[in-house]
Amino acid sequence: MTDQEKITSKHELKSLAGKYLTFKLANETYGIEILKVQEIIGLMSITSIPRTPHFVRGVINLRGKVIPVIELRKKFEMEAVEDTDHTCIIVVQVMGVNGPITMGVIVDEVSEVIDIADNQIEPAPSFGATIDTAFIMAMGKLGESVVILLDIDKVLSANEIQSLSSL
Amino acid sequence: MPEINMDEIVEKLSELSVFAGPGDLQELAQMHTYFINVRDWAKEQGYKKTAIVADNSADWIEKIVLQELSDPEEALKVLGQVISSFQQLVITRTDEKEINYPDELQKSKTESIIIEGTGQVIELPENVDTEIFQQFIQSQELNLEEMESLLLSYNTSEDKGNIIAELKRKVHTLKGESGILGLNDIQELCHLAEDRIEQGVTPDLIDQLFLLKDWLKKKFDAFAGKGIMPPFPNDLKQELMKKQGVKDKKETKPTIEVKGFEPKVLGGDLDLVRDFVQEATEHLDNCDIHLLTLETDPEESDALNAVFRAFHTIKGVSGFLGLDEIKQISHEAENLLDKARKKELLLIGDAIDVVFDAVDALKECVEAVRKALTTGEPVNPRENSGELIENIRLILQGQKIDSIPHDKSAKPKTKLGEIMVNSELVTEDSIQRAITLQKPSPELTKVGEILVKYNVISSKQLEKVLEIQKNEFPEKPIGEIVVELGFATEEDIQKALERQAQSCEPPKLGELLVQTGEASSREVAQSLRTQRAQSLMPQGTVTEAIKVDANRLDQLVDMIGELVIAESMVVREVELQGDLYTDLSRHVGQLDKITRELQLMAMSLRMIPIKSTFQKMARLVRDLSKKTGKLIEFHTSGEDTELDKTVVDKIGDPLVHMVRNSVDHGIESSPEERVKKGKSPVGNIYLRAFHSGGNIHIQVEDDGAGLNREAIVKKAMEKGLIRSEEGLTDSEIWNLIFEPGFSTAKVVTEVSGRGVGMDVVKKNIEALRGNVEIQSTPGEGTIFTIRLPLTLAIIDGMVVRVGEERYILPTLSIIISIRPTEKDVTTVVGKGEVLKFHGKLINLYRLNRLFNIPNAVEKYTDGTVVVVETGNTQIGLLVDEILGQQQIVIKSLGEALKGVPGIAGGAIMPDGRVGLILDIAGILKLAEESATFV
Repeated sequence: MTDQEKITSKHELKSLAGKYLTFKLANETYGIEILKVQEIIGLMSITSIPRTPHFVRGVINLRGKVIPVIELRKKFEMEAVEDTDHTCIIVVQVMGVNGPITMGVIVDEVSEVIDIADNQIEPAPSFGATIDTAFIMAMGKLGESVVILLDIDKVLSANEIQSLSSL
Repeated sequence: MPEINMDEIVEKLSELSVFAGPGDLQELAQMHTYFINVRDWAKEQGYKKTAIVADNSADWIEKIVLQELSDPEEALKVLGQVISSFQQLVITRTDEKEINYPDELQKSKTESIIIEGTGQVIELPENVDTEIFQQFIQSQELNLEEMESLLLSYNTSEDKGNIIAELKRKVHTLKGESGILGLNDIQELCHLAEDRIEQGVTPDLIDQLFLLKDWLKKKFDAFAGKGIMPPFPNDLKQELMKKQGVKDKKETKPTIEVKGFEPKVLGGDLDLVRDFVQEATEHLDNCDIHLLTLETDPEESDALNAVFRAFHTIKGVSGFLGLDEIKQISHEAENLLDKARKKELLLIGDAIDVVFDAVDALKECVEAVRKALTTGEPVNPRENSGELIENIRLILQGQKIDSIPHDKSAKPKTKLGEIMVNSELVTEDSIQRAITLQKPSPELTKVGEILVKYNVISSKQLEKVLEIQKNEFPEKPIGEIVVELGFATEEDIQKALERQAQSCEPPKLGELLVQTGEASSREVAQSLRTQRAQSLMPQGTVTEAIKVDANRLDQLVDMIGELVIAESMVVREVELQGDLYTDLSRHVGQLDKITRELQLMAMSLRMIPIKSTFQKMARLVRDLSKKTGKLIEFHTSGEDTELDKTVVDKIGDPLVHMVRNSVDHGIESSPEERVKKGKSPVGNIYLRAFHSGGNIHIQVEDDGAGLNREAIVKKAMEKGLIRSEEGLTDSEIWNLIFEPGFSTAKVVTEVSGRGVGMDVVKKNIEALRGNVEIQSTPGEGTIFTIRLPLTLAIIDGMVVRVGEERYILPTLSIIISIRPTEKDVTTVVGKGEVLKFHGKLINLYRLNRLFNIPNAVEKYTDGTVVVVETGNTQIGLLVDEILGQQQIVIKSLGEALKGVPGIAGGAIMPDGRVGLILDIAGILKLAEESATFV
């Protein structure tokens, strides 16, 4: 991501207002645009796929369709934990090279759907080269807490998975 | 077209528009011309909108002149605006897009279709909606295929006349349809082709028709968005025209003008008319019976003459009475029958149909006259007499007599009665009655009795004759005695004998049905034709088909796939519960059965016969054999074998390669060479499709020289593919021709230089999860066998376990599974492992190491080695155990995981989990790559 793109204008931020599905990873709260979310399912048995990036947990059978499942903790290089009763899969639609791709995202816990207004949005922070924040669209302030609004298209880019899998 | 000065025209128009009022016809006419000029100019310049507006404006002017507009003043005002817009366009060169024309003038009279992909716009004439057009295009695919198969069968067919007639009909229909749809180029070519067919059959005609068909194919494909629009084939047009020119003077093609008939007021002597009605009805009834005879034997001259006479009489009298319609129809029919009498035309198919039509039409006409007689009103003409007359004329011009051979030996397979009952023309009871009537009277009528009956001799004379026979010549036939005695001539006896023979022959069922009034002669004729057609057709029944969107079909198949999965999960659950619920497990068993059947049915939905592909090959062989000058006979079998549509679509290319190879390199380069080897000069290529062992096999066989082992070995050694010939079996040698390096193998001798693009062939077939095998005998020929899975959606798979993971190996690629002992496996350089298998050493790979699977068997003696094959390479894969064999519905892993090495796809296992199908070629590649890392 270039510096140019990082400078998010006020105008662009405005368009980010709307409904978000929030979920928890460790102590952090994240949000995904509600329109990207197809459904939320409980954890089911996942078939692991050899020679894929570590954050690809495997594939599941979603009513006859085989979809890949990503472990978001691993993707963000957070500490791995055992699955709990709260662990679930958010099924999202991301833009791939040849149209939308359905994918599952494993998160610690799904919280709620929230409304974020314009004045609650702040641009994504920059930590320099040390931490990649390309997949963060913006930050949402909700009273005391802060929601990290994810650009799910960038988090789960198909290219990334493919390029890694062919390593 | 002379150069038109647009500026001037527009200027003139604007002047006129100011001066002209609705009554100034002169000015309006002038304006009309100018609008047309503008339209033509706009068309040339590509100003579509302007062209439409100008065209509509011209129409308006016309309407003003005809006083059809309610407010002509207003219309002229609007036209004035249009004209000033034209001025903007022409004089100030404003962009067409910026000009605002009045809306009411922008409506195109013609509906346009924009062809997807090509961006081409065809304009459809009024009243033709796009749907009709699309349907037309869709139906053409099949039509052209039929045309091709007719053309292909022409040379070998016994029944050439019929084929030509059928071809002509097809071309004619196409001409008509394309004319309606405004596809003028197609119409023109078809018209020329039709004319050309009429001039008689020469070998180049067939070639030209092939070219025509090819062009049409391209054209229709382009319409369907599957290619680019082909240019108009001027060469072909010339070809078709050329022949026409030679015979031009012979062609006395009457211009067909079909006029409607006016209602006719009966006048003159009404008694004469009454007589005519009576007479005509009788004649027409007779015609029916005779036409039936003609239907079974088109050359039966008595019947033909009788029908001819009937028409002739009707024509004469009706002409005298001024009944034009009747006269005209009977006249045309008479012409046709005259031709038939002169043996210039055979009354079959359309020709006899049209005579039937004529009889029916005349009946109607006569009936109308009868009505008019009683009511005193004018005789109303039939609606489509004109059409009928045109049809007769078309047939008169059209059909050339080629003396169509009659296959009298062909035994009708289905009984006439059955056909008639099936087509609901008569009831079974009627048939039963007719059959009872048909039973011949038990005793033969005696010749003597017949003679007496027909007054040839008197009964007294007969008695005398009988006495003489009894006393003097007991062996002598009675006829001879009669003749000797001079009571009758030899001819009389002959006739009597014929009558006798007739009386023992039972009357025909059809005739009986007509006589008893159970069915009309026409219905019987139709059924007779069906009967004959069925006896010629090998299989008979034609199944009805519905066209379904392929996407919807795929969705259905997918859904059923999911149903099957869900169902098997339920079944498993019930099984686990054991005997707790006996009823439940019984119901589930039933459900299971239904689901399986549903699944089979779903799979069969995508299956289509391979026929069309085979036909393409037939064409290819024909073209190639012409090009190479080799004599080749092409045989196909199993065209009806069904394959998944995707497979049929994709198998075309490899087959083209293989067939081309067989023609080019398989068959000896000249007929002489074949003769020298003691073979027939004509080479044979067989293309077969059949089921075997759960797979579809497609074979390409030639009886040519066979593969040349030495040449291939030499070439392979040159290429460094093998080090020596030693130890290599024939089939291993043959497989070398699939190596990429062999594709340009001109170094190999001409005869055995196969391998042009063979690597592509193999790749394509493997992509369809099939494989190719070669059998070749020097001097006798080569057989390529392609093995393909029945469907692409389901494979037979072997489920194996490695650690806690399960994988599926396609059964097709498994050779054997073994439990290796210590001495079977040897380590190489401490890392790589080889397995002794059938005296050979093959590489042994461990799946757990390749895929980093924990907790798997490490000691090979504890696990199982599955020997698999990909391409020509065999490898051993070490797995923990084999769990079992299963039919597996293949699922794509999706866009994101497409490129995972060693994994071909996913499958839903009976427990609902996803299983991974291994890609043997990928694993081999992976193994080789990782070996370099180690």
